[in-house]
Amino acid sequence: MKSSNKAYVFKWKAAIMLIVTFSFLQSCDEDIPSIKSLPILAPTKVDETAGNWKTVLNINASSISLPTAEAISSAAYQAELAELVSLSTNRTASQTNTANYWAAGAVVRWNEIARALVAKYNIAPIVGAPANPNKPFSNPPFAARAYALLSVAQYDALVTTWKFKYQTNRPTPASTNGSIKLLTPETTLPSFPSEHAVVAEASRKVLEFLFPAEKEYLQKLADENKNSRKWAGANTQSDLDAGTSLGSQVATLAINRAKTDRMSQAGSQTTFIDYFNIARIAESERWTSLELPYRPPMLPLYGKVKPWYDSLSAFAALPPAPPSLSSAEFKNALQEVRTIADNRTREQWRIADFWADGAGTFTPPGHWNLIAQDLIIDAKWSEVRSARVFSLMNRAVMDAGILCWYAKYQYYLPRPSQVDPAIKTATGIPNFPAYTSGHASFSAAAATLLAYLFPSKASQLLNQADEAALSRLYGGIHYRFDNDRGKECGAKIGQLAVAWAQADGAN
Amino acid sequence: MQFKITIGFVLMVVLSAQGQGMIDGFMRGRGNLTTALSYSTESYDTYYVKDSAVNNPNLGTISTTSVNLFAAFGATKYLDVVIGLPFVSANASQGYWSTQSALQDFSIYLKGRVYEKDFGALGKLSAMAAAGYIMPASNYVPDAPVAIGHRSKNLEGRLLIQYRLPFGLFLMTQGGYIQRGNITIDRGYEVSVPDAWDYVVRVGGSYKIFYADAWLNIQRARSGTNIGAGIAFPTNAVSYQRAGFTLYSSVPPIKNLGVSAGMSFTLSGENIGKATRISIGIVYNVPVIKDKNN
Repeated sequence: MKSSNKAYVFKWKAAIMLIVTFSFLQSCDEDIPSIKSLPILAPTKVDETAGNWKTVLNINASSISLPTAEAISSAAYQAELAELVSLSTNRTASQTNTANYWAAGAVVRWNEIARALVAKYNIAPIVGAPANPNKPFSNPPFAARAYALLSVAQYDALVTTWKFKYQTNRPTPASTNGSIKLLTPETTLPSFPSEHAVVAEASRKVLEFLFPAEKEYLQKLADENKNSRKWAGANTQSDLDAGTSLGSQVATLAINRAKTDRMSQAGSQTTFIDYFNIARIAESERWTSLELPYRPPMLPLYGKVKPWYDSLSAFAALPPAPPSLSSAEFKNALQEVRTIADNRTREQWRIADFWADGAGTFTPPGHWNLIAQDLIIDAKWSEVRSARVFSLMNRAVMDAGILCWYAKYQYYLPRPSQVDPAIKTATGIPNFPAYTSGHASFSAAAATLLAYLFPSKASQLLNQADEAALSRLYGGIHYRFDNDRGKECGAKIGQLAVAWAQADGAN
Repeated sequence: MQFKITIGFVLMVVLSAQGQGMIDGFMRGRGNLTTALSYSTESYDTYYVKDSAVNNPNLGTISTTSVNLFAAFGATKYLDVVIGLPFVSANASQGYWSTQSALQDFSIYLKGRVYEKDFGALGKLSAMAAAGYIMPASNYVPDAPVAIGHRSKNLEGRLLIQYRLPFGLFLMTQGGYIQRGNITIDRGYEVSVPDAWDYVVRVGGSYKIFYADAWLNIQRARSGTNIGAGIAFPTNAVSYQRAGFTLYSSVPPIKNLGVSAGMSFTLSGENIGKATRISIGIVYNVPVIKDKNN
């Protein structure tokens, strides 16, 4: 009896040891990196003529003043090269990590940073709280504008940078001094001004305008981005200084546009009632907030914000009125939402959640920036061509949002659950009218443009946009016609972006 | 020895609906199979965001009901195999979030007695170790305000010490570690579900036809996030202190049949509902293998 007890003691000790060991092994597998590792950008083309591409803000390069580039042979520049030799050969492990992080591309990394800030600020304020400029609510329309503004500043600044690069024609530090230990790939792209410094400074300034409380954080990132280029052996101090100056000047132009784009009035909770003459709609057919306590609708005058593409053509795409609540067409559409909600499959739930991009996330426009980022990285495009993608796409996404928001307040259509409270949802019910779907509008605009730029991925992208739209029907928060009209409108705006891309000189 | 068998299952019947309390300080005895079917209902209108209690009028009261199948089998005198499988349904009284209903997690434990010392009239001390594996029994939704579980695959290790006084009184303590694997959420990426330490203290009395106990359960997440906008629900650091009691009585006219009832209360917590739970169950003992040594 005693001996068998001992045997069990031994076995159980062994079993416990095994459990502990296995737990330890599995915890190692559990670690999820907080920073996404991306490949070092090695562009297949340098895009020498990008300096001639059309800018969005009509940047006049002659109005941009930059410090003079000292000659290669000058003592000042030779001292800068000596600094790079020292920094790149004595690179610490942490400097190498930082340099690798930014070497994935300044455009891509600052887009990621913007997405993280949008997610951080995408929290609805407490009902009734006064607006706090230090805590903007980065909801989808706000985010669409933020991404557009950032991308336009990056793109215009980079086009101007390319112009200056080929005017100055300063060879890369590593091609002048063979002792520099280059971390990034060799390139024929002239190094003055540094495209990284341009993007860092333009992005820092635009993001600080949007998220004032992040001033110090953004400055730290911009400094790090610039320093990373010295650690990588890719740019000297004067390359960086010129880039900083250029990025700053173009960012100021972008911010000036933003100050007069009517966004500051978009949140007005009184004037929209008259502007859209909400009183003409019977009370029983009028949208109302389903939140407790009642929350005023999101950015009701966003539909009046200045669009990026030709505004007359854009507003020609405004969708027609939705079917009236008493029509058979509406009742059928409502019944479809109800049937899906009552019999929702797990896959429909997954799709609803995958595209939801709700509170605390980078929003649907952010989702399309992520999709675009992956395409750009795969394509190995230069910084300026990468910025072009984001600029074309985010302007389209914002304009589609403007039209969508105009329709929402023009027609003020209730959400399905307001009409039939038995409709239960797989996602949060957005606090604004249903018609048309923001997801459908944003997604169709983005996918139409991306399909043009990445033709081999066209069908996949358009399927993704369709799924994003359907996800709202599956979620129980949109009628199918919200999606269909939203997609049509988004696709028309996407075509305006395509037309712009065909004429911007980059093809 | 017969009353020993009667007791062990009760706790599980009442508590196991969400993987808690599957392991007690009693062995089944070789060849004995205990089966149980229980029903639990719990609800809360207050939940903790980190450690501050809040109400959400857009969710109202969250109610969860579960039906739990349970079985424990004495493979040898020293080794029990314990399994559980609950069907859980959760809904919110306010707002429009869809109800969630699904088979939740299948759990299987091996529990072995590793030490026992009889002090005669002073009582008996025993120590046990248990290892458990928990896996989702369906592809339920883990990342929503109304959800029925984490959907992670877990490994659990527990050590128990029980001291039994004469007259059926006992004191049990146990400590365990729950290692939860990562899950892929519907948003399309993998997240980490925090591991946790779990402790239970239980006092009670067990008799041939009657059993009663009172218990305290403390669970502490080792890491994790707090409930917040954009935060995937399964990544939250869930910690709590709960207390409860259990009652069991056999149903004398029917051999081997018993009924159980219990309640539990959430005393405090982090990132969890302040829930009160009521459970009832029926228990049936099947002596599968006749063994005179038992």
